Amino acid sequence: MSAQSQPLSAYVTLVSNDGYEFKILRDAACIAGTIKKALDPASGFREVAENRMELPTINGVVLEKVCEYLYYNQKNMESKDVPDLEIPPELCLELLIAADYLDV
Amino acid sequence: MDEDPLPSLSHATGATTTPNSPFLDPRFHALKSSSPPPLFSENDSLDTADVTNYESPREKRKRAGTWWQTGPRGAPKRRQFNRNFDSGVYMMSDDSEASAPASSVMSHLGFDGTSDIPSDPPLAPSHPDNQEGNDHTAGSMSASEARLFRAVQHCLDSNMTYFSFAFDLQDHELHHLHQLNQIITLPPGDDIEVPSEGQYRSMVPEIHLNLSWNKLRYLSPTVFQLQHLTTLTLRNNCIESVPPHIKDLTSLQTLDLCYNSIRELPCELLALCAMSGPGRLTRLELAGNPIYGFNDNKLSRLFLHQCSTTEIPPEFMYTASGQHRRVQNRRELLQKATNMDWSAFEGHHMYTPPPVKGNTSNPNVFDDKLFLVCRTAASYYDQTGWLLRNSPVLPTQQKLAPSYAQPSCVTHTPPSPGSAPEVWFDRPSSSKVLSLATLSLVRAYKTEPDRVREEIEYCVGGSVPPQVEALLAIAQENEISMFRPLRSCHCCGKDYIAPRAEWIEGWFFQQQIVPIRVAVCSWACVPDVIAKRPEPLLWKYDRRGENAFDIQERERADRLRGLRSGF
Ligand SMILES: [Zn+2]
Repeated sequence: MSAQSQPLSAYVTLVSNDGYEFKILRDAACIAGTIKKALDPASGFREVAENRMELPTINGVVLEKVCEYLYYNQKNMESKDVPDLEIPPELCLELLIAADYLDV
Repeated sequence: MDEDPLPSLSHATGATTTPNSPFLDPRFHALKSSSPPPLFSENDSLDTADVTNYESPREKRKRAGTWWQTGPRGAPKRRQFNRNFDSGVYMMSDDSEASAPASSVMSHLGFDGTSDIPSDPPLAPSHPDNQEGNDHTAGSMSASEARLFRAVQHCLDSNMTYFSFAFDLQDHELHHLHQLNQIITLPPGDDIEVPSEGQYRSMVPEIHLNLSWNKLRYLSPTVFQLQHLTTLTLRNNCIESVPPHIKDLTSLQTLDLCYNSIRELPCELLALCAMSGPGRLTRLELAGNPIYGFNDNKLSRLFLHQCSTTEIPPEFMYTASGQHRRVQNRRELLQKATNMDWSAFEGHHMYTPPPVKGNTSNPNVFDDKLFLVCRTAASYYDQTGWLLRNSPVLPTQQKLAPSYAQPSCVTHTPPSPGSAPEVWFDRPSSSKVLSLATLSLVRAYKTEPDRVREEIEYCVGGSVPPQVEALLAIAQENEISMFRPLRSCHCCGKDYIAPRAEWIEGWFFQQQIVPIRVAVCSWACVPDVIAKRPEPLLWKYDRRGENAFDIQERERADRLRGLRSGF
């Protein structure tokens, strides 16, 4: 991935409200508009220095699915035939709210 | 999390080699970065992780069970899954009222409604749409609905195949029509002439349904379940859009939509127009509608992509007022059309009919063919259905979005014939991945369509976020006009909620240009031939080697000069 060549660390950490940490590729994480803004080097937020973002409204199970989506999105960006992303029905509403919050 | 087993990720199980928690194990963070991105999965190790790390407060499950299985307030299962039987509906049959108009129309049109009347109604097959049959007993029906009900009964008892109902009907009252599915063709009896050799009679009934002069706006799913519907007449209603379900009427031969408020037709109609065989749509009547005309002043002169030798002749178009007129010199036009190279458009969306192949010396072969003659540029929308800045507005939507109308539309008007548009809005990106918000909401609608809003409100404690609200509103609109909260992409077939791009195509069909609206789920689903800026049109050179346009211009200039010198 092109993230290797960037001066910023290739990975960032997303922390759920119940303390789970997800370390994911910065490129993938920045697909989410909110994360991208928070980690924008020009912004000078604390998140930039720590490469770490706490998400007080999203729990671990949902955040894991969000991360899966971010990689799914990144992987299929150029695909002609995008496979379906499996979304368990019991998660879909929480995911919807999380997606709205993260702008993804 | 407490009760529900976590969903398994079939493709991800192999990605994690650590037996311990993928979340918490420090080795997890030390994966080699050049390898494919690690996928988080909750396999068997998660349970341990969950137990050992259950100190932090968890708010995941506010209540037991899944959101669609047990309602927040213990709502009982809805009656959608109960099955009702319409036994006894024939008791309602009353032939005192609608017999006169129906039979007179029948005799007028010469339909075979006079064959023997079966004393017993045909047994009602338990149709899935029957569930409302019992709910609407005569007491709860409106006057018009009761009239329709009785008229349908009467027609069924008489085994008619022509039905004409004009009772100021509204969309929701049409569900009684499902009974028309019971119609069968009677086998010839003793008193019916046996057809002579070669005069085979189809045993498939042909149903002719006339719903003119009602108050219909969106129709009803019931209408599109009448599989033997051959003629559908909907004159003088208030229809603005034809539902995509039109493609389910595979026997439809005549569709009469005169005197409604239709600006364009759904892409699915092409499936009917392009069918082969006797069930093919052969008549499409659109007079008296504000049909979108491709030569409207502001928007027209749409360029024909890839047609380097010709242009749309004015005769090929509707007049500016929206009244369509028949093509004058058809032979010439058809030849022009067949000279175009449309190969780039072959199969550019799901409903593209097979390419027209034929002998251009005999234009009659095109009488029943369908081909693309022009199209507008695509309009692009953001995730929640708002037109992107600088994107052209969909011409048929102009009246709905006046603030967008002018600046973007001008870009479609080439300054002179034969040139490409000066301004072109390029497709913003080309990923086919739907947003997570859309994917989640589609999943929710597929699980329990009727409770989605209620559950979201419960989830967020009242105020729905504006972006979600916008999607819900579009789903609601879809529900009204398409009987389903989800749309299906015209290019990839996936379910989605808000179109990300739309455009209008002009299909030549039955000597008129039918504007067809195409909508897709992602910007990437816009076919390249639609998305990319068209090449400049070249004009066909005449024998003198002069450009036809130059000739026209020169002649006009000469005339003007003559006028001026005359004064
Ligand atoms: Zn699509």
